[in-house]
Amino acid sequence: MITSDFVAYALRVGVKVPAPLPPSLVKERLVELMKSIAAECDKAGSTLIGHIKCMLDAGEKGFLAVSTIDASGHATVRGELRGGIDELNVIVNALLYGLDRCKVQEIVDSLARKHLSFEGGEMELEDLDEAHSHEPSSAPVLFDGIDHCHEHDDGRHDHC
Amino acid sequence: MLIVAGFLGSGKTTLVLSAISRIIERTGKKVVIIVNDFGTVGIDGKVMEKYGLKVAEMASGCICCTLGGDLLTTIQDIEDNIKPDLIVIEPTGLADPSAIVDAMQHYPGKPLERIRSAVIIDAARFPSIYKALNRPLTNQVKNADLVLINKIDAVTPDALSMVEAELRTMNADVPMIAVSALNDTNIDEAVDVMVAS
Repeated sequence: MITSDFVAYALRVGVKVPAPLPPSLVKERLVELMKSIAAECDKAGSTLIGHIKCMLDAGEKGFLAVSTIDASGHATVRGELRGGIDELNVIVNALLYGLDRCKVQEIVDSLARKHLSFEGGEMELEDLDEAHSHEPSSAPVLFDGIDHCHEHDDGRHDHC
Repeated sequence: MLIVAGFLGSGKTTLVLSAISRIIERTGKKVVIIVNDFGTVGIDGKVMEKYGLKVAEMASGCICCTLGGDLLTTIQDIEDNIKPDLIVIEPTGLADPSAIVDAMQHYPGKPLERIRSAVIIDAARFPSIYKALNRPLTNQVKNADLVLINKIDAVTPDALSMVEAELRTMNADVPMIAVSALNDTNIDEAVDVMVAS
């Protein structure tokens, strides 16, 4: 189901804060981030939101996985965090139709900066597709001479 | 082997979490899940691991095409080292499960006893997904051994009937079960069909 207007964007957001954050605040910010990405992509002309999701793995302090599939303002939350969180390592995946990748990147990056900023904190954004595009990738394998993902690309993309 | 396919956000991970735990509890089977996430860093597989499931992750591509060779290697490694009773594959929401079945014809190890595919349909978003992606969605349903109409908690009975009627035009003969993976509705019934020999 990868058509020419399908786009995938993956981002890692690293945040270090001077004082531990309450789990409820972290959860609230991640939910807002997912909902606002879906809403902004919809507003920008996305024809279909596939899945907007993120995961924060805080090791012994637990994890949170948050996702949404439309711009209705509903997000699903899995997992929980325990104790103060002083470092965030969040993976965001945006999979949708009808926008170009640069537009999705612009939306996701700017909303991540907005929703995951904390006073006195330091933030680092990493485009994971770009990071992985330097690694050797598997060559397409054709079974019976057929590329079953005829409309797939191979995950590579033009940089913005 | 069981392939659990379905469009992005249809509830595959929620269903796998719910159904696989039941299969393990009920049958004591050793189950390994292969999760293929489209993103360069997988999220779904990590979530399943957090819930205690044994997961092999394949990220950064789609196992029905670019990662097809890697899938065969992964399955052989799992067969050799873990010897599971059941391998469950959760491909990306973009994959064509029949292509995975085709790929398995090239599996160099001991042939697997049986490959079944279940397709998860999001009842609430079915009209918009069907409109946007008619052909691939139809292919998924046509080639399925089991259709699970998920998120019935989010639609009216009339809307559910319309979804089922439309799906029946694509594949009239397979079992179709209306479920809510979120609320655990009819999951036992779905598991019965999944593990039926």
